[in-house]
Amino acid sequence: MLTRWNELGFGGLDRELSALNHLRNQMDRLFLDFERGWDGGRDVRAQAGTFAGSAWPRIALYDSGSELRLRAEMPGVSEKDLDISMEQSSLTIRGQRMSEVPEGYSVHRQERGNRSFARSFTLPCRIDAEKATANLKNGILEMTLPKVAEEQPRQIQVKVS
Amino acid sequence: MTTQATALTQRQATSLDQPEEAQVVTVTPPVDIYESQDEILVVADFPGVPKDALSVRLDHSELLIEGTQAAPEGQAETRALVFSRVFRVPNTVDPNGVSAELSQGVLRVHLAKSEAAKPKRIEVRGS
Repeated sequence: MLTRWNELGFGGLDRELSALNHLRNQMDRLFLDFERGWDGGRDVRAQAGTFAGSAWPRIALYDSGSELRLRAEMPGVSEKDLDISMEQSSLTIRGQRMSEVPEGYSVHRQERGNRSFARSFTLPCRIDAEKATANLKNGILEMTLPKVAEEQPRQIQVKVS
Repeated sequence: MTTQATALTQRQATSLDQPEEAQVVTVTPPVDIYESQDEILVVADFPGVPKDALSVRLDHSELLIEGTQAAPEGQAETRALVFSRVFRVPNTVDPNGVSAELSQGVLRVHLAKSEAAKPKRIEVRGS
């Protein structure tokens, strides 16, 4: 069998094994999805559904008592490609990330791909939308969603009788 | 291939040897690899990795890109997330011609080709 000589190293054997490689990548991603769960992999069933990059961006929602905090990994998304809206207790994040081939370049490998997403969440409590903030830095979107006054945690005094 | 296999072994080793809170989770970031006449360009997703937590190293013919994600504020119990990947680089790359930039959580590594490896135009002389 003739093997094409490829001085660039990125191709060659790699390309011949690409089918196997792809399968292995998928398996690797599957395991990573389990391991990378924000909650430390406790809810296995929920994560088994998010197979191989189907859930993009990866999002976590925390409750810190007085506010909810949302954190989403969206590398390559700029603020102008992001649209966040809130309607009653439903929060929607839409956006896209394009990864185009730069002009004059040929492609050896493309794993990142174009991403277009819309994700909605029903928030567990009422939010003061006027005071909500969103900040995009280093490819991470951080949102702070302050709860309305009635939803704030209350300290309960323990009386000694 | 070898590198990723190693990374997998390392992850398994970590989960066995260390208590859960000390774990570091290593993940393989997705990459795009492009090539032009002058350079090879590696583009990788490194969300949440600040510039000072990033390492780009070319050792002989191996390019290592690695970065640690900054822990979210007030979530100290979250395990550290390390993005790591190694590539075999052809010897046509000039070891002194490597540059990298980080923007919006995306790392771009430019590997300039050595002069000898760049394509040359051959003049056709007519008589």
